[in-house]
Amino acid sequence: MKKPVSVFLAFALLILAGCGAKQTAAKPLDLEQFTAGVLDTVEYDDELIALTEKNVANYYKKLPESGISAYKIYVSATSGTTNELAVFSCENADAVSAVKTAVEARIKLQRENYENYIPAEVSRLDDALIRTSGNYLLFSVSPDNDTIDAAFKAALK
Amino acid sequence: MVFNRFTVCLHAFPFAFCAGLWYTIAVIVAARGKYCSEVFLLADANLQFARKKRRRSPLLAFLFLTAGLSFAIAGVWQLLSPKPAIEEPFSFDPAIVEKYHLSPESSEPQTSESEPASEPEADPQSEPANDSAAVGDLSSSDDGPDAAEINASALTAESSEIVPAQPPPAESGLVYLSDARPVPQSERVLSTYFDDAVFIGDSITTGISLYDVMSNTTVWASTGASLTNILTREIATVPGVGDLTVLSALDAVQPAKIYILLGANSLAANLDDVIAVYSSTLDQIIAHAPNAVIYVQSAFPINEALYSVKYNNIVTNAIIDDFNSRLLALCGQKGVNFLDVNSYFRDETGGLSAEDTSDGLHIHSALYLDWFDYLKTHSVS
Repeated sequence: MKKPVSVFLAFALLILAGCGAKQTAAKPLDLEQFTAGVLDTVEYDDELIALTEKNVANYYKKLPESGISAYKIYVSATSGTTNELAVFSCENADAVSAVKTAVEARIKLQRENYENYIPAEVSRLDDALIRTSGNYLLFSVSPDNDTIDAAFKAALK
Repeated sequence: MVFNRFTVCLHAFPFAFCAGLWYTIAVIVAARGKYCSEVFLLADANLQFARKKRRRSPLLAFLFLTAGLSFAIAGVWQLLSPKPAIEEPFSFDPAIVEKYHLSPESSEPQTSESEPASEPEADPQSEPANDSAAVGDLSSSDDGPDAAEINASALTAESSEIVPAQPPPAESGLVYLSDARPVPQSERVLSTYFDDAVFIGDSITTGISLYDVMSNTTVWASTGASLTNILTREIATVPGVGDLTVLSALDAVQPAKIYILLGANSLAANLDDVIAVYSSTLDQIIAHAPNAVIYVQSAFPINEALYSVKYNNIVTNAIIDDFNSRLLALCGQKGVNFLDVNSYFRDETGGLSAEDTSDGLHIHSALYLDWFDYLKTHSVS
């Protein structure tokens, strides 16, 4: 009878070990919850509005057609500021890289939009935050990128 | 850690395992006749199995008991533990959300009973009057209070003939510099009227697609677009073709109607120059879309207090009124339609209410439906 008991003890230890490993690995990010938390926490100086699927291509012209499993993008509702918050969940590292390229193109487009329109907004684009972690990418233009960066890191711990 | 039935079972397992192990050992010991505990309800039964040399019976009991205890502990834990807090999703002002979710199509039934199935016949008075005055004469001082009074009385007379869906909140700031007049109120058209229309403009016009106000129409607009770059930037996305300049896109699409809203980003410059550039822009648009019905919209009013803080320049509503008056005369000269949208949005002070804007220039999303309400009731055939 010692052998079966040993087998079950080992099985139980394996389960507990697996449980411990789960706690240290990166958590899946709930994009909806994360962006809602950011919008509640950060004091934006403009109203932000979520981009619909139909509009995304007008704003992010170089997004890859595949490799993005989910995204949540908020832009300035009035175009009075360059404020923006975008989080992408990608399927692999290649998709993350492609999304990063699209985000950089978006920043370039915004520079063209604002340099002769509201030049003060261009400095915000200089401080734009692009952060990747695993298969997630965060892009933020806001008055408080430090808080958003910290929230992103905390959400994935 | 996310608490769900699986994770709770996982954590309950060690406790159940220990309990089951304790029970099994007790049964084994009892089977050897050294000790028999009556604490365990199933001990006697297992004892009988064990005495009949069915050595696997304690093991089976251990398995079932462990699984059963796991689920029992998990269930009790789940019932007793407080539910995790769920963050409230981001939400806009309920008043804005209410209007935002009322798509133009969904609002149609309210008016469909009084609307014809097809587009209404053109109002003979809605044809733009040709203006013989040259652009260079626009700044002449022929106008004055009399012209303003005529303007106001004309609008009042028109308004009394056709009951407006929503009357303008204040008098128009236009001064008539020629025979040209704004498009008067007309029968309300359906949203399908905008199926073959394109909207050309700046950041204000981008809101049409951003807020999905009229999803069946086409928007060629960009933040920062102005009279100086509207024809050179590739802001017109044509399906299957790509991003084109406005003129190239006009060549490709040949829309039936063109709505233009420009000038807001150029009004700090000399108005004579602004009107001259507008004139050239109109000429090119007309040349590339000769069959289109063209509507030029007046520049929106601003909230001067908010605007001066955000944009730090000298534009005032008086300048905007002057620009719009000259633009009306220009439209008469070019034979295109002028829509006095400005009069629809201005408050009793002649400006944009602080409640309608956050930066003094851009209107809130809720007002886009009002804007289209105006366009639907001011059309020509």
